[in-house]
Amino acid sequence: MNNHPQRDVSDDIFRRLRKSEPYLEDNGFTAAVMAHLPKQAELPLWQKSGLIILFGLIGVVLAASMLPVQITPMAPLAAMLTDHIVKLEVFGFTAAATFTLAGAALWFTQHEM
Amino acid sequence: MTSDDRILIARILKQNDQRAYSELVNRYQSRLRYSLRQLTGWDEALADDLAQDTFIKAFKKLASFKGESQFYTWLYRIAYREFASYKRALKPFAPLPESLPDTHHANPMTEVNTHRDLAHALAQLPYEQAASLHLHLHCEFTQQEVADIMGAPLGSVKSHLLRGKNTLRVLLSSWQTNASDKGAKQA
Repeated sequence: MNNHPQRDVSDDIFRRLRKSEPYLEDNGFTAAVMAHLPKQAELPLWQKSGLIILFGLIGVVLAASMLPVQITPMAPLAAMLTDHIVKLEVFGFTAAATFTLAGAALWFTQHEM
Repeated sequence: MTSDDRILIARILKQNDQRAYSELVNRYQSRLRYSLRQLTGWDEALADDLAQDTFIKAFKKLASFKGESQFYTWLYRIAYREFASYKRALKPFAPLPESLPDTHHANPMTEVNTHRDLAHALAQLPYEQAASLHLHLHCEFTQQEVADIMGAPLGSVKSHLLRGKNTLRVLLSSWQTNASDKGAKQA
């Protein structure tokens, strides 16, 4: 593995000390390393995106369910646009709820999962 | 890379198994901490800090480890970068003393003291020379592996080894003389 064309004092000392290298007791070293590791590895991008979309959709459905008018659950956005019955503040609430939940989902994926 | 290492790394990457990483740390902590003690003049606290940072960075970068070299070699590459960053942040290299600090006169010539004495001697060298000597002569990495670990050309490593040996020979000559004198007195 090594080429030692000329052995000298340093070669000899290193060789001698290599044979007598002490084993350093762990003494909590491994535990200290483990305590400083990131809690969990980050989720892949596709999983993170999927979770954000999922939570966003939940936000939309929740907001739509609070509307004062009956809206078909499967097409809340279409109903809002075609029937002109949704007030601006309700739409704003929907958007705010969606972004809040999406933000919460993003935080959740980065800190807890 | 040993098959054991490979299995542990797969468990960490696929199952996010931190216990597997704990096994890897436990497996290599002694060798890495010893090496860093040798390079830091046997500063135990500093060496452990550098070793800890090395293991944390290795965990974060583990997905980029392709298994082309042994895990141990890859770990040393990270450790060397940590060590080199630390040395570069220090003040410029101080002039060499004429001999080693007089540590071995006060204590009997035990192997433990010899390890410390060598660490003190290495600390007097430019860090590239000290690292080249330690990695090649103690850890038994080939010169090419040392070059890979240090991210330096092979020619530079050969030069570091040659210069390091020459300087170390001067530094250790007083050590040998003192050891001989001590031996003669005891006889």
